[in-house]
Amino acid sequence: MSAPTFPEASRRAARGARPAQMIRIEGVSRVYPATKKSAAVAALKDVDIAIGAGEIYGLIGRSGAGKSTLLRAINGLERPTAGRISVDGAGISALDGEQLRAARRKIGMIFQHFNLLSSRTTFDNVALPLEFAGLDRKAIGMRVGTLLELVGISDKRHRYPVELSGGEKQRVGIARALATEPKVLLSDEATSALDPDTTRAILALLADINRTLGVTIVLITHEMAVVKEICHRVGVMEAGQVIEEGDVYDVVSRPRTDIARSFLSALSGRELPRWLAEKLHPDRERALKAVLRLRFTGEKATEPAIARLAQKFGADVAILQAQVDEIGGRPFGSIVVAAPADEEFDAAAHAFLADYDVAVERIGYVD
Amino acid sequence: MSTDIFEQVRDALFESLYMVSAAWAIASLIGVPLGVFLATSRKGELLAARRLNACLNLIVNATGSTPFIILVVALIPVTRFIVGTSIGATAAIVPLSIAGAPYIARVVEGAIREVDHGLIEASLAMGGTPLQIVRKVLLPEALPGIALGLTLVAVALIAYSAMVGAVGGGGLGDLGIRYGYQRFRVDVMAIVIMILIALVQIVQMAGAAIARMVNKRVRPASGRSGRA
Repeated sequence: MSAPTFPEASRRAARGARPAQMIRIEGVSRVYPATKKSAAVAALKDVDIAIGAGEIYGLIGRSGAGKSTLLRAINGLERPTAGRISVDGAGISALDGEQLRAARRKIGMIFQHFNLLSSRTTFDNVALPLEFAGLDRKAIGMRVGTLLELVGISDKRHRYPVELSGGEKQRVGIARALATEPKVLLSDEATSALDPDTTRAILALLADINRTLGVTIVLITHEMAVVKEICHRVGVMEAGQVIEEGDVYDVVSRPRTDIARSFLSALSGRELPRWLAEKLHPDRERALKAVLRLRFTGEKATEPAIARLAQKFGADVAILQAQVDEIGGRPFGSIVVAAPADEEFDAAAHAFLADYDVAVERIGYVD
Repeated sequence: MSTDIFEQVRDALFESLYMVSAAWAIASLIGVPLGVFLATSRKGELLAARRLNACLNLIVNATGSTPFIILVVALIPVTRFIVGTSIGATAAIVPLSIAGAPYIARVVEGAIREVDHGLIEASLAMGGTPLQIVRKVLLPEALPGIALGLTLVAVALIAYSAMVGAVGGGGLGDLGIRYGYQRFRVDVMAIVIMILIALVQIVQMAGAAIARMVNKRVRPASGRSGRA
């Protein structure tokens, strides 16, 4: 008398749009009460995020946007004043004492400044969470050996942190965070103190860990480049709220909010060149040319849309700045052009370019 | 006559060493845990207990601000109760320990509070209990500072031990006062002073060496490390 099976349904579930949820953040607020010196501060305001198992989720925002508070709420270092957070089914925000510690062992964390014990060698630093968990010496030795192998610093096992480079220290931090075989890894600006090459190597390691161990990663950063490099989804935070969220490709290629746009412009070359920025003004009447930003996404990003636009309308379209980039192997481009300023052309160009999946944004006018 | 003096100096030195090391050990046994607790029981810290913290702070401050010579006299009933007498080297251990303990507590408290708060956060995130974090993180990380602090207190106790000589506590201070001061024996006074200076010097150097040895925050000099 076995239960009836629904192969179609189970297959659909297996390749479902969203994987099983690992982290649920529901209506979370965090208010720091008023003190003698300052008024009450709401660090988080009614935040809702769901993060799937095996996902790499990026939280981006300026400093003070609340991303650090939110990250710390996930492992209970911060207590929300409202709302609830659950990780792998455990209601973190409601746990206490030994239950909370047990839940925390299933959540690893890495830090911008590594937070390694200066009094312990690489080996002993990685062993620390296992000592906390009460493992015996032999089990710790085996586990640490595997971890050092995994992050590629087996040869530094007897070195003290002071003898290690920044990248090596972060590798120790990652090994330590993975020691108790967590399902979730929290990364607090883990690459912000590292040079670009080391940053790339550490991000590659994190992506690798995500792929091979299936660890869900939540990272906070103020660099869109980090998000672009390894995240699957991203949430943009501002003033304690998530103001924009979605697949990295969508957010990067079509940002909806100014904040997201400003993070994007901080990506190399996305800022307007100074000579152009200085000449821009909002007055159409006295303008000769409109300055448009065209965003190409999807398969058609590589098609010669501009050439065809110029051909079709016989219009002068000058390219002022251009960049083609890719996220997760999907190309997207951003091109700034000077085009005729009349409204007729504007409407026609909009319609024409929509066929090529090009989003048009008018930045201003030049004489 | 001179061998007699030599023997007296030797006995006084041993008495001083006995007083100082016993008092230092007892003061450490009380002071180190007290210091750790003072540092970690503040508001928002691992073992937060505000009231108890405030009480202990008061006691530590009270003991620390009483001049040592007054403390010795004030503690005579306590000393009698514990040792049975208030005269001699063993009796002197009581006020020395009680003067040393809060001193050590303050030094240890300072060293523990110097430990980077990020390490505590990381340890909490790893699922460590407050006691585990104190034992495995705070104490080892604060060890260089604690070693220097304990050295400082040992030196102070050497000076204090000479002071208890004035009230019949025995040791080098006692010898210095009886011979050097009351009998105008300049040579004895000079020897006592030189021994005290040498003692302080040795303790200071040993303490600094130990602190350097346990400090892993500084990259070992390439010549000594032997591993390039």
